Amino acid sequence: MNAAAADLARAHAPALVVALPILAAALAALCSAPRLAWAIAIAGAGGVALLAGQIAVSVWGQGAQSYAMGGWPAPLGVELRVDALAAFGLVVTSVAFLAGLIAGAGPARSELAPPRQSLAAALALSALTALLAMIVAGDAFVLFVALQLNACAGAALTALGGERDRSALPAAFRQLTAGLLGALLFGLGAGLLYAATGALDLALIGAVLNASENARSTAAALGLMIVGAGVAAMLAPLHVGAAGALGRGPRFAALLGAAQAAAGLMVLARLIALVVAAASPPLLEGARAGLAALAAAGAVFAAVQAAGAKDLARLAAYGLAAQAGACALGLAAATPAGVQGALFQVLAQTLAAFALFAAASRLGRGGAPIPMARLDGLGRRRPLTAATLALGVLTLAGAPLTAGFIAKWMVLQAAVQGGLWWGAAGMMASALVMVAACGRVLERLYFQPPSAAPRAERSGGRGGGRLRRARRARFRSAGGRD
Amino acid sequence: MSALLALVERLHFPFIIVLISVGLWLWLGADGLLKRVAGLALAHSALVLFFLASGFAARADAPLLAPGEAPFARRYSDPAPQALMLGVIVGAAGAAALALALVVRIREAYGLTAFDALAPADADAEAEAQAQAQAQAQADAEGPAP
Repeated sequence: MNAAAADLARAHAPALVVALPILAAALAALCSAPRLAWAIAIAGAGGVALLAGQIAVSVWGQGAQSYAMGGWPAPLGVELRVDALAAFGLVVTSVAFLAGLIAGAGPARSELAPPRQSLAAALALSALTALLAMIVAGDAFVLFVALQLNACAGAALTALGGERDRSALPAAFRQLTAGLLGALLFGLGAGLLYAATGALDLALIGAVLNASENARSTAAALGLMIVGAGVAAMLAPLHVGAAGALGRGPRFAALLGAAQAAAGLMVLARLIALVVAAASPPLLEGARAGLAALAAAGAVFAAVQAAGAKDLARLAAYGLAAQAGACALGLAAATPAGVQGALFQVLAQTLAAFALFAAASRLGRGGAPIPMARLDGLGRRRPLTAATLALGVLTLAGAPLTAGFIAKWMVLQAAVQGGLWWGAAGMMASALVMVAACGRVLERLYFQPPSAAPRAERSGGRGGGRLRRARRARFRSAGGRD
Repeated sequence: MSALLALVERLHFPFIIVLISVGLWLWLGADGLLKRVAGLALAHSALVLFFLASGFAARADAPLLAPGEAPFARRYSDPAPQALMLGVIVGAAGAAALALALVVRIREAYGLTAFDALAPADADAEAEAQAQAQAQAQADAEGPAP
């Protein structure tokens, strides 16, 4: 009996991996006890991570599989595509998300009022559903819906921070705008492709794309879809919504941000692998050059923002966006080596961002902002937190011996071999700026005198409380004044 | 004749382009938050129309039915986009509801719904709170609290 159930779970793992978190989300939303809601969330994410591991093992053994939802195969039904790309994305995203939930449940309990906590757990699980659907979907329309759900769940999570700091609310609105706009552009692209090919399944589109002579609408469709996926991947200049929200929303939501960027990059990777690679040569060249230009410009732009960030959480968010640019450059090379480098980069940046956001959630208790001056002399006062931070920024900057260095090296090689040397030059510039951002953090951590720091930290905490009280008073007066 | 038909078949495109442009212009550029939400809804409606129109062809025959066999056979349109667009309508309604909820919360917290005025309001509050904290710190330094 038990073995039969296990077999069933194995056979339907691709569907279960999406269904499990949304069911758990409904359950968590119904729980009135915050502790129980967080337990459900962690159990749900843990179950997803186990399923992802199982899928990875089966893909390793049997190769790529296609799961026909409800027994309806691709042209009529919806296909879930489980290949090496999806298996990698599932494992990275689900493990990063599980770790984020475990690390973030504590801070969330101090940050949010108890009635909001079961909502927060439910929203986190909804966001996880969207991310997993983005990774396994083989169908442009399912991707569109997953992008929409991702935007809504992410914005709602950010808005939960509005209790503590009202500037989280406009940030949430901006995140919703950017995310939905990305989804809409993706949907328009899918519509154009549907009109041209009569298919919504990405693999089918790829199969018939070369034969279609309607090149201009295809080019527009590919551009729209790449931009739409880039919003979810937090590719700068499209990252304004998501990165701003990561710095302003609740800390535990930022912990989940690393997984979000990873899932968005997987959508981009799938799009490149199935559709763009099948386009006619001039279209392929155009798409590659466009994505590389976006990636290189974005990487530089976000790195400059990271170097100028006044708050640790925002530095981490912009650093993550700069990394997404490096990853997209690897994808733009559209060669096996480039995709390999990009995937390795996803792994490195997820680890680094996770380390940074975890350290930030340790430092900013109750979700208080963390000005850079708080880091002065942290190396002596809190060696472990400081070491985590240092490792995180070093990986973001691509310092030798870190995973970030190896990944960037692979991406650079692939880009130069693919003829995208100017993209590689942009990425080098971005890495140099990131070194400056990283140096700022390291200097404060280990070379600033810690003398005034403990006092500053204590009074900073009290001052923060005062600041919040003053703000709250201001809310009331503002609300009454209209 | 066929040129005229081709023109008629594509007549919906300019309409949809105008609709989506107005939607995006409102959504991204309007000052009032409610106008932005209206733009969001408009842009999504345009997307729905775009899909529906692409599933319709003026001279299409229904598969399996010979022309003349049934009166409705000449009025065939692809059911797949129609089914999909039900999902988009639901998703757009949910997204608009979430955006409206955010507008309500923003109005509660700021007392205004003009998007461009929110960041300056935050900066003002920040400066005021800092001045208050400084005054408090000075008071602390001058004399011990009772």
